Amino acid sequence: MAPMPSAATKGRLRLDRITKTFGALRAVDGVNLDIEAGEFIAFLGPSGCGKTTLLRIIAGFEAADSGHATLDGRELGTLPPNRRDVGLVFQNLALFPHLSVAQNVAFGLELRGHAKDAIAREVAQALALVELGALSGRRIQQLSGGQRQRVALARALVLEPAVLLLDEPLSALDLKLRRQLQQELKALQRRTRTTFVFVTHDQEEALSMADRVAVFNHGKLEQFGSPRDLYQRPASRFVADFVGEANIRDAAQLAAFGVAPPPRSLLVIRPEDCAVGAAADGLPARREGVIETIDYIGPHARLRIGLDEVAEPWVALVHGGAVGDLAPGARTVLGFDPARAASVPAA
Amino acid sequence: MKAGRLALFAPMAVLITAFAVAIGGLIWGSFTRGGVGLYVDLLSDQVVLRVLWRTVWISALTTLFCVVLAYPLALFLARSKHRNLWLILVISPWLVSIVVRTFGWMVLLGVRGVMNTALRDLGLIDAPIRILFTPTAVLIGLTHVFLPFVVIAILSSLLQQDRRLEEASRILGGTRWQTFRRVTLPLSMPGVIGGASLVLLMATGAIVTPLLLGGLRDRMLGTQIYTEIFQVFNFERATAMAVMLLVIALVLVAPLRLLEARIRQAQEGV
Repeated sequence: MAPMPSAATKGRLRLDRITKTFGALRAVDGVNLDIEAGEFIAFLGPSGCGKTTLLRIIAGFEAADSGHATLDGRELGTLPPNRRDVGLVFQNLALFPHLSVAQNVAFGLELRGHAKDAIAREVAQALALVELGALSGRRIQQLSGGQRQRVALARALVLEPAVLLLDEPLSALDLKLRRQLQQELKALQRRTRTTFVFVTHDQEEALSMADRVAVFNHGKLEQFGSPRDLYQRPASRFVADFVGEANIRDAAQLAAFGVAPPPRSLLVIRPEDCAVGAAADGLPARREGVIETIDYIGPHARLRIGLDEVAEPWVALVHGGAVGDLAPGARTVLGFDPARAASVPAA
Repeated sequence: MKAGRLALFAPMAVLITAFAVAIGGLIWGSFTRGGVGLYVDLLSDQVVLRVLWRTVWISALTTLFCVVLAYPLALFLARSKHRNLWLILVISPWLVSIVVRTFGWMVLLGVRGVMNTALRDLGLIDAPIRILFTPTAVLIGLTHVFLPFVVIAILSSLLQQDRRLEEASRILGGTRWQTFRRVTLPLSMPGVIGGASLVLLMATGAIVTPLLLGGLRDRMLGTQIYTEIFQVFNFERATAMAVMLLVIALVLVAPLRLLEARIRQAQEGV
């Protein structure tokens, strides 16, 4: 592996109206995306939303029905996977069971016909990058889940692809290891300045790792923006609901608060923007309700509060100390500031 | 529970006992009736040595042809959407008795058979080509009979493979051929070797096909034993040859099994 350049020089990926149907199903529906070199992008969405299909189109394993994909100005079109300069870490990793760790990493270099000593050097560097140098002679079956993950990363990164695609590579790991590898992956991306496209259905994972997140639903791109944008200015009801927790309320439900949302819009009130009891004093929108449940999550408490006239309870997230002697069944006041709420189109 | 397990084992026990008695009796009988001298006689008999050598090379070539023909077929089946339909075609010869199938080859390959008649009518040959009652005919017949076994052995190995491994090779820069060479083929070797061992075993002991297609002149060991029993009535020689057949089969197959065990160990780890 060559010394890492300080700024990304390759890896600008443009998707232009990509569409792919399987029978009657529109798996990917007119997706436009412009990904800059060196960005860490997450494709986020529920299973079956088309994010993996889109990834496979970029990799060249599926052909789009229509639309264009270009990488650094080069039309990907019908180029076979081996001529795209794209790396892919599979969901199940797909490490070669008949090869050792070092042989797995050397695989792509050998196909490119690099000299033996050059391969040995590059493999050693790649394994050092993922801190697996000591295990180069091991067989894949002798590795733990986290170690296999790193082999898969080294195998892809040693070829210095313009774009590295990652298809839910952490989904099989337990939570603690997952958090650790998320950090490592993020650091690795910064160090290599490679464009990463990371597919996940875990919104927390997407928000914490990516520079920008593309949210998909039913094959359509719902929103493409920074994690902060997605959370604070969701473009649709789906994004508001899928990214983080939200109280999404229409005009009828807000009337009791004396609040009117913009025409044909819904208000998105985040649970942490809701106040309960004395803390609600002085807020522009207030209503009395009955506490249904209280869950303590670390330093915070999550309250579900039912208002008399509305069936759907509100969710409020407050500091644990602010709960005081409130208990399920007690009446309390729920308040929020409509000025802090985002609005999304009603339809 | 324990009684239940014993009951399950009972049929197996009967088989093992019968097997041990039969094989044991065979070996024991060959020594008591003829003694070691019988083996010495056999192994210095030019006819027997030719039969032994013919058995080995015909079996080996049959195995080679089966593997070479079966691999592309198995690969095609593994990739086909209508796999089960094709598979029925592959194993359909099993619906017909091996004797009938072999007679079919006699009709095709005989001096006045379909092939020679057609070639002569086309003016390609003047005199009929003699294939029937030669080792070539045996080779063709055995390959035909055993091919489906190898197809199924290789197919099952290919179907067990994770297709993502081939995709991984492709995205790492591998062409289709490189991917086959470095991923698909090595990972399917257990199936290839398993199928090859099966054919090798069956071919060394084959009787019907060599008898009908090879005739009584170019005998294989199975046919030789048949001749000793039914034409010469020399049971001692037949028994000793049966033991030799056993040894040859073991000697031929053992290295293949060892190789397979090594490959499996390397691929699955222990």
